[in-house]
Amino acid sequence: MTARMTLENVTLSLPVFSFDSYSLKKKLVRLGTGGRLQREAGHLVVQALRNVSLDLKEGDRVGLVGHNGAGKTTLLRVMAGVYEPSAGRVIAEGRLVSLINAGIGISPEATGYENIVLCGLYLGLSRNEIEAKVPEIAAFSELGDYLAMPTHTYSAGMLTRLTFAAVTAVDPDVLLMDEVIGAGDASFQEKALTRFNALIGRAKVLVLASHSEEWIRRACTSAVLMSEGQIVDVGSTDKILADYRRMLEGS
Amino acid sequence: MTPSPFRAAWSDIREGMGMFDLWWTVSYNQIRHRYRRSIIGPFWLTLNMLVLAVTLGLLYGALFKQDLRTHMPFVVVGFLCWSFLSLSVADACNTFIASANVIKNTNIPLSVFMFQDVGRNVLVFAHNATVLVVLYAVWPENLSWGILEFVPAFALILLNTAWIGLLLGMACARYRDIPQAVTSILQMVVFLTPVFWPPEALGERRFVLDFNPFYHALTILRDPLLGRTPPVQSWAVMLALAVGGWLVTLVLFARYRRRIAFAL
Repeated sequence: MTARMTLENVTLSLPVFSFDSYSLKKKLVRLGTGGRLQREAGHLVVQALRNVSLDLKEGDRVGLVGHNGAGKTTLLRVMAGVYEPSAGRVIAEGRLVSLINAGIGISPEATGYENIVLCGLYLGLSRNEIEAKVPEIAAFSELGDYLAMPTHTYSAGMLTRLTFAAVTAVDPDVLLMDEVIGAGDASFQEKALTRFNALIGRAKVLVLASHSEEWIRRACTSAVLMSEGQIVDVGSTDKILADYRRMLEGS
Repeated sequence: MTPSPFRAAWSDIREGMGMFDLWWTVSYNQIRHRYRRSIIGPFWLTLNMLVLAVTLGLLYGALFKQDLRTHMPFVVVGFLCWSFLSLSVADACNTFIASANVIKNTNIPLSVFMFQDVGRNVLVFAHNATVLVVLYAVWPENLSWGILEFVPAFALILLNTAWIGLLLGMACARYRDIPQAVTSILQMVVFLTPVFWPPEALGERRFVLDFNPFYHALTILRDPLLGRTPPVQSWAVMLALAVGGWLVTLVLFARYRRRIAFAL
């Protein structure tokens, strides 16, 4: 299957319903971080993305950089099909996996094994596909007998191991990630790195939003700098990261 | 080409139903985990229901001067079916709210969350329904071949709870006052519907029940379980509700489906 992720002039206005409309006196407020806020038909609207165009094809590994609230996660959600753009369009081809929130489907009452299966099902695998992967995921997690215990008995590190092992077992064409998934203690980190590299290697298109320069450099071949819901610049990782640093110093 | 919203809504429902592995596993886990550390587990549901139904059966039987032999089974089965109906409607409010985290981070069909709720409530009903075994052992005259009519009746009710799950789920995600209103309406409806009292008690004013959809839903579920044949009129009302409800839901689901994530 071919993989592709194309955005054409994508604009997204996010309505904010949980906002007390009376507490906002000004017509237009501009904050230091986040998209523009404005009122529309009585409720508050965030201009989360403005005129974003990107064309990603097989082999593209793109890092999304920008300060908090620049629109990175929102952009990933638009790519994932969670948010429908207010204007413009999204063309996505290939099996898409979004790891915007890696802990998805993890239920503290379920055992490690049950959570591996749930996690796979949520990520779009069939029961047979995930059942076939369970032994490998279990072995990788090194959790042994703990896998038969409910995950609320796990330490934070054990839970990270489980989540990491489960979500990295997928075979995506298009992989969307919001920050690199944590990988537990030092002994685990090295093999986690190998596994993570294998995952992004399998993906035909990678979009990684991260604040870690190291990871952007390591996983991506190009990068996109975002600010206030717009793409400021696209280029090599070195160039964009330098731009970003200049932008942070300037503000 | 972007598909029409209507087509997209329809394939959301089709694909959602197709993800049986996911929603059934989640439904099943939700029930199991709720009772994980209890000894009799999900049969607390059954016991809880039995205690309430028997107490209220005795109370209302005395109040309405009913023969316990007919009134007790009427109340037990009525309460069994009512619990399913009210739970389905109450849960419909949270179809999308409860799964906000998943909805905002993955692109799985939204109808999955409705099927998950329907599945869970069917499981709860199946546990509750074990009281029927006790009931038929004590009052075997209630069991007849007429019970077979329960199967299509339950299917028709599920068809209705499915659209209610999507429609109320959407409305409640956007307007957070609706769940509160629904809770309060359900508390009222349980007294307006002949769950604990016989319809005959209304005398000449019995016709008001015709305007209560919960009465018709309850009737087509309850009558077969008591060896009676439900009136054709109740079947007709539920069938009309299913068709009308699905039409309205499909139109609104097509129009607002993509906005659900915004409201969460």
